[in-house]
Amino acid sequence: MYDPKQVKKNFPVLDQEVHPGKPLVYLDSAATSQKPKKVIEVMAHYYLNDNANVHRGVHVLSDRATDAWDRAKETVAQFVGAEKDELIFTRNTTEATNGIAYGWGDHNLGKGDVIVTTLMEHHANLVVWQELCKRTGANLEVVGLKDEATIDLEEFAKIVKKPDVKLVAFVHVSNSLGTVNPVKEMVSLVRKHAKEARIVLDAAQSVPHLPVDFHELDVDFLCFSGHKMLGPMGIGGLVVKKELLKSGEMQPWLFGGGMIGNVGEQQASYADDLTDLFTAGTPDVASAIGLAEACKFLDNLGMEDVMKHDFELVEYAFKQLSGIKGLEIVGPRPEKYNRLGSVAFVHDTVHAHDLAQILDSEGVAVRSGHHCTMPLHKACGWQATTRASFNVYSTKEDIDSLVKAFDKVAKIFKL
Amino acid sequence: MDIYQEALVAESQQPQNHGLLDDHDLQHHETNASCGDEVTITLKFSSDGKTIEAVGWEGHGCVVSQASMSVLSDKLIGASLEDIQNWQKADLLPFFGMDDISAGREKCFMMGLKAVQKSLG
Repeated sequence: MYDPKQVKKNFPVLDQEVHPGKPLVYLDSAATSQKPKKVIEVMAHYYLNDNANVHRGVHVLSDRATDAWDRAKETVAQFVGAEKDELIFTRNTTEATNGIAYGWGDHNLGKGDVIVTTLMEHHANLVVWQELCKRTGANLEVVGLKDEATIDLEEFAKIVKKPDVKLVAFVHVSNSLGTVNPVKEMVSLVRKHAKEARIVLDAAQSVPHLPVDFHELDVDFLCFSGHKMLGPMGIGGLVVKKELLKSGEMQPWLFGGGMIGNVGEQQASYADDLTDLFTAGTPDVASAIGLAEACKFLDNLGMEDVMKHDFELVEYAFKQLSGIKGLEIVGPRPEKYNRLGSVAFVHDTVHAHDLAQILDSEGVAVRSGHHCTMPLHKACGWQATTRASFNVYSTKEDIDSLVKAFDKVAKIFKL
Repeated sequence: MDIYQEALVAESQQPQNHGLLDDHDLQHHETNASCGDEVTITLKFSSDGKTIEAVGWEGHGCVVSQASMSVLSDKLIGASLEDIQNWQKADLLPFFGMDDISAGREKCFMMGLKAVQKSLG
C-alpha cells in the first residue's frame, strides 16, 4: 500500500516552517523535486571516502570512483529501459536536446529538411531546434493543440507526411498542461510516414511520474533531468539508440579529455568505447551516484504505484480546486492517466504572481509564470499561470492546504 | 514584510495616470520576459525638454508591477529627466512603507521604472 506520509519521512527538507506557524507545503516539484536523505548521504559518502578522478589513476580511490561511476551509469540506464552504452550523462534535459542538435543535427540536416515539434513544448525542446534551423537551413513546423489541452493528432499526421521530415521532437508529459501525450501513436505515425525521421522524446516530466522504457517507446533520443526525479541538480541524461551511436550517425559534440583514442599535434582519433566517446572531461561522479540512488528509491516504491499515486493527486486537486470561484484549471480533464504531475490554473481577477506570493505567505510553494512554455501561453491567451505540482511525497493534505490558502487570497482581494 | 497591504492592492486597482496620452513626445513598450507582464508608457515633456509634464500608461500584470507603475507615474510628473535616470528601487519603496522587496518580486516592482529609464536612455 503506497503511503505518501511514510515516503515523506525520507525528505528532511519538507519538515520545516517557512513562516512563523506556517509549515512548508511544497507543490513545486515540476520545477525541481526534493531529494531523499539517502541520495544526499551517498553523495556525501563519496566525497568523504572515495573521491578521485575516474579512468585515470591506478590507485585504490580511483578504482573505487571508476567502479561507482560505472555502476551508477548502469543503474540509471536500466531505470529508463536503456543499455548502459546508450546513456550519455548530461547536466540536464536542455543540455541533452542541445547534444542532439550539435551531435546529430549538424551532421544530418541540411537546407529544406523539416523539423517537427509542437506548441506545448518546453523552450528546451523548441529554441534548440530554432537555432539548429538557423545553422542548417532546415525549417521548423510547430503542430498546434486541440482544446488548449492535447496535441492535434490530425495536424501532426498531416505534417509528418510532408517530404523531408528528418526530426520529430515532442514532450511525453507537458510541464504546463500536465498532458500525457500518446507517444506510441505518435511514434507509429512517424515511422509509417516519415521513414527517415529520427524521434526525440522530452521525458523530463515523465521519468519521475510513470514507468518509462526507452526501447519499448521506440524513440531514437530520450532526454531527462536528474533533479526532477529525486536526484541532484547538475545531472541528467540523453539516451540514444545504440545503432545511431555505433554507425556514427550521432557524433560526440564535446571534445577533449577522456574521449580520445590517439592524439597528435594536428589531429586526433577518438575512443572506441561509447561511454568514453561521449564523456569529455571529468564527469560529475557524485551526482551520477546520487541519481542512481534516486532511481533505486523510485524502483523500491515501484513506478506503477508512483503513477497511480500521482494521478490520484491530480484528480483530487482538480476536484478541490474546481470549487474555487474565478479559478480555471488548464489542460485536459483527468481521465485514465491522461495527465500527470501538475495542475496549473488561471484566476479571472488575481494575477499568477500575486496568487503565488499570497499562497507562499501561507507556506504553500507553487510556481507562477509561463513555465518555459511561452508559445503555449501566448496561443492560449494566458499571461501567466500558477502551477501546483507533485512528486512521490505529495499528499492530499498538501492540496487541502493549497485550497485553504485561497481564503487569504479572497480576503486580500475582497473576492 | 507582507507586501499585500490594502494600500498597494487599492493602488493597483485604481491606478493613477492610467490611459495613454494622445499628445505625447515619447511612447515605450516593455515586457518582463520572466512572467509576461507588460507596460506601455507615454510621456509629454516640458517646453524646455528637461522635465516631464504629463504621463499616461497602460499595462497588464501583477499587483506589484501595477501599483509600482501607478506610484511611479505620479512621481514622474515634474521630475527632471536627469534625476529620473538616477532613481533606484530605494526611491520607490518608501511609498509602500517597505524597506526592501524579495528577489523574486524585484523585477515586477522595477518594471515601470526600468521601462521609463530605458525610454529616456
